Amino acid sequence: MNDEFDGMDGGDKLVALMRSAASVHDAPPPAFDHSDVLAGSHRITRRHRMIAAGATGLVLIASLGTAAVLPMLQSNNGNSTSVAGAPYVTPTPPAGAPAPGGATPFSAAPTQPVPSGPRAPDRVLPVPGKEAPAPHQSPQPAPPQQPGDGGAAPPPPASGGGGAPDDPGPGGGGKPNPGNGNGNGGTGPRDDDPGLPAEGGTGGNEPPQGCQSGQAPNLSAAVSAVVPEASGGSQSCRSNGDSAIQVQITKDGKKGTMTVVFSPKGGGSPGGTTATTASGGKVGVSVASTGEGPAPYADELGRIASELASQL
Amino acid sequence: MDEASEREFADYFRARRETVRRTAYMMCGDWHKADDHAQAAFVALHRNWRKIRDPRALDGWMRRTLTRSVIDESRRPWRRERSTAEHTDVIAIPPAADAMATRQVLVDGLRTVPPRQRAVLVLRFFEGLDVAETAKAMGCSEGTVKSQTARGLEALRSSLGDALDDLRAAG
Repeated sequence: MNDEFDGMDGGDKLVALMRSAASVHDAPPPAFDHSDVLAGSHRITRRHRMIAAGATGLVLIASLGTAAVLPMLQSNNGNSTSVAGAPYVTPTPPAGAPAPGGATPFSAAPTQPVPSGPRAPDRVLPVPGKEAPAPHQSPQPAPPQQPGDGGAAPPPPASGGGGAPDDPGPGGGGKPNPGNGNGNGGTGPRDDDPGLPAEGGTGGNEPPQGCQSGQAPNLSAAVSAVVPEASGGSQSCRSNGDSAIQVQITKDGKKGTMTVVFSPKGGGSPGGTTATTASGGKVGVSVASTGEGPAPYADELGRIASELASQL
Repeated sequence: MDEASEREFADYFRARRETVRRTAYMMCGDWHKADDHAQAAFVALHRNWRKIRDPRALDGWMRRTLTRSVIDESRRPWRRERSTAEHTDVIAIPPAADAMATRQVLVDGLRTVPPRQRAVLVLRFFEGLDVAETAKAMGCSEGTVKSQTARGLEALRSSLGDALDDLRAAG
């Protein structure tokens, strides 16, 4: 054992000295007994249990906090979406589109053929049976939906969806459609005219005028009555209060696009061949050929304007 | 812990308390610290009593725990012991050296030995363990035990000076 020593005497001496040095005769009485050991053991065990319980509690609190905060964050995200879709938010017009509130192809060159394409400043008016535009682009907040009303009601004072047949409300959907509830004049995207972004409001604090005040005539019905060959088209409301519609006409092999603009009393000239309505407004009609040869009804615009004026 | 295990632990405690205290005292050179180390080792043994299935391993487990406790304590900054290359504090031999004085000289000499070397010396010469058992208690290799033993003895001899002639002659 003590091979580090040269002789056994040194190793034995060291062993003897060590055992003598640790003799219990010189040792003080022990400072601890069995109960102290048990108490220390139990104290450490309790401490470990408290640490474990604390860690568990922290994890539990963190989990509950996460569970409580996450729905709030998600709710905030939803609110921000609602805010983003609040009224009077003007969508960015596509490149090349006329500026909102500015001159449109209708008003700038009423006698010229109106190119089909996006008309950013025009507010899309409801068309009977058409799907409502998106609520987030509505110029005014929609009132609560009412039973029997064909969906979301249009902005006041326009009559709600499914208005009276003889009173095609300017903001309403015109013909009632109690069956499917899609006849209201909401503001959703339209399947047949995706290139006409809706625009809400007149901008600034200017009072609404013309069709923007909800007093737009039903151009679609009038045009259909006067020009049976008319198809398609959607009525829109311009920023200056004019109502306009653009329809496709095919007659005797001639194809063209007819534009009808209604300016309320006191408004500007609608352009094209005009006629005055009984209410003092003006109806402007223009047609442009989209095929070869002359445009259809090119020589009958005066008659069409007069007939439209008599109906509006 | 159930009642039977508590009784077994109490029996072991009563049987081994003084031995563990003395070993701790030889390792640290202070009876108060020795009591603290011994109590900490018994507390750890009580908490792990059910995990030690072989009763013959209890002594080894206690030695390992006690040695680790003493060495770890010596490593703490406020109790860190400093070793010097040369032993300047050569212990003077009391004029009337009796047995108690001789023992005290040895204890004082052990204090000058670095903690790990001191633990090796205690385990080998006080506990009577061989190299393998000492290595197991220390948690190191047998070669480390041998080298630590040689260095510890050399340090002890240098510290004792002329105090213990037998040990000097042994060197």
